[in-house]
Amino acid sequence: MKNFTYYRPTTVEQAVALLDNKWGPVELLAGGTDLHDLQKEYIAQPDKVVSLNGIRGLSGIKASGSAITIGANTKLADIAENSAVRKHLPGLAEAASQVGGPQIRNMGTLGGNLCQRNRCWYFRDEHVPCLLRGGEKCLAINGENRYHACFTDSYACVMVHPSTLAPVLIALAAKATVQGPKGKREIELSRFFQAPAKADEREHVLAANEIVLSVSIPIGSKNASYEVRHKQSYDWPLVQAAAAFDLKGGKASNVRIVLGHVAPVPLLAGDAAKALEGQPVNEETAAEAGKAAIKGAKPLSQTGYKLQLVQVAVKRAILTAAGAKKYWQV
Amino acid sequence: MATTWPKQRRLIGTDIPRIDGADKATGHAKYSYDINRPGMLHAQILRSPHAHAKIKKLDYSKAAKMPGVKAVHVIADVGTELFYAGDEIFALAADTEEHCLDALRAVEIEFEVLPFLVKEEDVYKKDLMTAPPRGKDRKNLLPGSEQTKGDVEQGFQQADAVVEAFYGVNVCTHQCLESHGLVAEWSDNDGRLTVWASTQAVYRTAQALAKEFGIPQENVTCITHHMGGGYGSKFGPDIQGIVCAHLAKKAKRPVKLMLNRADEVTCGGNRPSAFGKVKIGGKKDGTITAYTVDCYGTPGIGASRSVNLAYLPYVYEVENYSRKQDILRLNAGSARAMRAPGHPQNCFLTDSAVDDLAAKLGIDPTIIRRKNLPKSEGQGIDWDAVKNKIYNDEIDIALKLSDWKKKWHPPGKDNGKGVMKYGIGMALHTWGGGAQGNPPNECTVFIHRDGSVTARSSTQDLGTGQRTVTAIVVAEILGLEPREINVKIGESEYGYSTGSGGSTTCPSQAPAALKAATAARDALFAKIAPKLGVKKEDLEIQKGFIVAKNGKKTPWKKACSLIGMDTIKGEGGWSSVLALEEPGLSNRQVGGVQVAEVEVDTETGVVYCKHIVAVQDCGMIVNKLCCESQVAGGVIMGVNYALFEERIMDRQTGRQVNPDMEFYKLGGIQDIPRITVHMYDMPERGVIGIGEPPTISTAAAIGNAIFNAIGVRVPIAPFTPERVLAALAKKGGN
Amino acid sequence: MNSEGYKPRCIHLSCKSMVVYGDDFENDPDFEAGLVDFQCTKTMKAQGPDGEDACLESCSNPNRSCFQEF
Repeated sequence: MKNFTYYRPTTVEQAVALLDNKWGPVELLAGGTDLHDLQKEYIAQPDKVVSLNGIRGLSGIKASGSAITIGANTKLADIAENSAVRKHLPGLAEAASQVGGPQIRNMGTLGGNLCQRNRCWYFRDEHVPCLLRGGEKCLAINGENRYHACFTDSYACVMVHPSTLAPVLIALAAKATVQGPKGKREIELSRFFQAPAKADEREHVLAANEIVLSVSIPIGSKNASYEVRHKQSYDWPLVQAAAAFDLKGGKASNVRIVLGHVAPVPLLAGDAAKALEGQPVNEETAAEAGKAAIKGAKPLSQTGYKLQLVQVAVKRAILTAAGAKKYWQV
Repeated sequence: MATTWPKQRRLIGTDIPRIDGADKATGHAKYSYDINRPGMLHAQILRSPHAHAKIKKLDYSKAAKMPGVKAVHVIADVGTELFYAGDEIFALAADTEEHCLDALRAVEIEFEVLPFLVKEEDVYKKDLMTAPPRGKDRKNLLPGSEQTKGDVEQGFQQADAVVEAFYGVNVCTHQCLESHGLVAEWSDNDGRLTVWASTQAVYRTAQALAKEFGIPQENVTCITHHMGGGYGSKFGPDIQGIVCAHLAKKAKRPVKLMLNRADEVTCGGNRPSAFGKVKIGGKKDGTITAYTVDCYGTPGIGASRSVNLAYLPYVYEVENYSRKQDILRLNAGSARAMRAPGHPQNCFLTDSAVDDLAAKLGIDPTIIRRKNLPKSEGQGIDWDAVKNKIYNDEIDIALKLSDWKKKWHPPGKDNGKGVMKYGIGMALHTWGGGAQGNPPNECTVFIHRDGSVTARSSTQDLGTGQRTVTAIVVAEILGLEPREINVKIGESEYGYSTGSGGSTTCPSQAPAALKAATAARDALFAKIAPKLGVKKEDLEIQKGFIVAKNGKKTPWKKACSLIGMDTIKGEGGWSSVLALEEPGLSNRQVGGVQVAEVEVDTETGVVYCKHIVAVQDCGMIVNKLCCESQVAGGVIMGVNYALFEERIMDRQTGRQVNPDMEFYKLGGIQDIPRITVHMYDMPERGVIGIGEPPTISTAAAIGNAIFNAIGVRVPIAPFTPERVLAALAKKGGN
Repeated sequence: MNSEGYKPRCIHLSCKSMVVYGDDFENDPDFEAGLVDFQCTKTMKAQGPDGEDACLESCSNPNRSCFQEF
């Protein structure tokens, strides 16, 4: 990796002051499970690395009557094992418990999970001219794209956003608190992500000198996450669906369904949510929501198979959230 | 008098934990990667980023002056044609790994980029002539010639059912957990070279280095006490070892050069793919009347074949067949021998077709398997005499252990209403695994006057448990426990041994250890008999004691103290020639039967492999626990081959897109099934190797189990959800 | 060595069969099946110093520029 100067500030203000207003010269370090890989592969070549690990108050899980707030530096393993999270946000606990393997979950953090770079193998190979590193075009579009997007309309880069926590948080209408040179602001997770199209853009809307402090998640809804996985250990999902809704009188309301690993951003499946809104939750209605979820999909040469998986993931996430029988485990 | 295995065996054939197990688990065991020598430098290799290119300019003057750089070495100079992304160009050694990598990035290099081919199907579209030259020939396609036997047309006419299909397995890589490489150190004043190499061939690695530097072989020592897997890819110093030794010589300091994971995957070797059209015909009674295969595969820039044509159709004896394979040379890393070369591909192209044929005939595929087993010829312990019985017995055991009779159903039928479908499938395999060595593999046993025992051989333990095998054999003969034997292996100075390939090490080393221990025992008797007042012929060993015919029992330590001023030494050797002269100590050729049970989620295409039953013979079992471990390890590799592993090349850039353990998928702890191993002990045959056979038939068995579950064939491995869904879609939904 | 007499072969040619079986390498079942990969131990690659393939056939030709007798 390129040599760098290492900083370990003790306050958020100090950390923000160390950041640049453009991407590249400075990187933030939390668990390091993404940054160090990027550095070793010369994809990230910062002159300065600013550790967040010396700042108190950035980790921890606080439950109140109406919300759970998780510090950005909280380890994924702690999120997965926290009793309040498991009780009120089972979808989040499920997603966190499946990230990578135990070593990754013990080091990786919430903030890092949300802000991580994408996993496209063209992006991560410094020897090929990927669009996001100054190349002329996205190499996945006409290349090897079996793990890439199946919703590709209007995207210049067709990787998939790798976070499995993000779809759940968006479904739960979570909000992130971030801090920059001008102070704090709140960003709804549904507006946190963007599809990058060139070298100075990232997978999220933060400025280069902003830091995620915490994420606040309202509780009270039924929620679940379902991943279709090729491998059960140490793998990314092929497709993920997160579902959240209120269940009153046997009918679903305030339905939010979000898809993961199908687009460069976690994708709000509005048609699927509409299909389930006001309906009882059963295999039939869940399947209908699944069918609606693939509306507008435009798969690549090798991601056609993901459309079937999206439908199944949505169906199973809905049924799991409602506490219905998991028909696929019979 | 010819040596034989003891008739009463106390240790041989039982479960013995590895004597180096604790060392490995605690981190005490030193692999090449762990060796750090005083003043050691770190080296890495600059490689071609292009799939096919010529070097136009190579300027390393800046790099050589970068901080910490102590030595440089040009591998491919200006004008050299490079044939794949990963092809070696240049190396340097620096005081830290970071300085080394920084300096490599300062090398100024320009390429003339040339056309390339990296996908098998593209060769058939247009042969671009990008392969390394053979004379003037640059063709990517090396067509094979057809071999035939009998009358294939007539065979198909006689059949009650004929199946024609296309099957295939992709390129997979060795993915040794410890990468290739070594630490090289030259002595200051007498031109001696010592290397700590991750190698399967300690003796040959030393020999190759001596040749490279033109120094006497005695002046080179190769040390490999532990190594993290080879699977056929580590048979010498390789280019990185040679380069490392050159850098060490130039810098006059020790140098470590171990490949990083990306280089390991792209350059460390791989198993060729095999895709082919198969046609198989058979009768209702199960007889296979004809079999044809027309297949192709790629060895990368190598030129080796992907199937063992002489063994197609695989295992089964068929009157009428034709077989042909094309070699497709691509601009990708070269194939190297990988755990049972050719056989997993052979098995896949045969046993998949057997189950498809069974389905068309409407019969249990076991009927076809039994009906076409090779017939036994003659009497005795050689393979030809026992093969039929071994296969039939192993099929019986596999059926019983998997509860086949209760669980088997016609493919895709009687399978319940849920989305998860259960399936069961079987496949058979064979392998050689006899003794090797010319001169014979050597083992030396020392009995010291304090009662301690040393057994010495230059052989290597790849994780196969060879160290423990030697300890067991020597302990058996001397009435001791394996832990009491000091086993010294993995240093080239310990004598002659062959590389660990072809599953030949155990059948070579175990008899050598037997002979050495026997000779040492006899020498001990000769030495101490007079002091005990008996004749040496009147002595025998019992556990912990030397016992005389007159009943006098002397404890081992006391007996050894009678050695006096000397040390007892016994030498033994074993080779393929000796194996023919003295039958019974080792043998060759084994069978093997595996059954796979899977559940397939028919909505997602995800395959869950739940259980593998592996029945394996290997002649006389020395360490049953280790044999079971080898079988489990081979099965795990087979599960990965079936479900996860695939080298993916990009035709735009000519590079592999998954040179890692992320998207080159390897099953984790939740992906590996329950594995039931049954060792079929045949002590009368003598020792046969077991390293390779257990990985051969797993993938075909899993493919057959998936077919049984969903009623439609998934023809290409790995059986990803995408491929399973495609097959289900072809079937028209369930 | 076989009964047909000594066949000249370049000293630098290597393959897995030779490493395991020594001079008996042609009896390696993998060798007989054409399943081995060859290496020139001068270049340590699958091509010799002249840039052409290292294999038994082309490395048994005494007229090849890089050929070196045992």
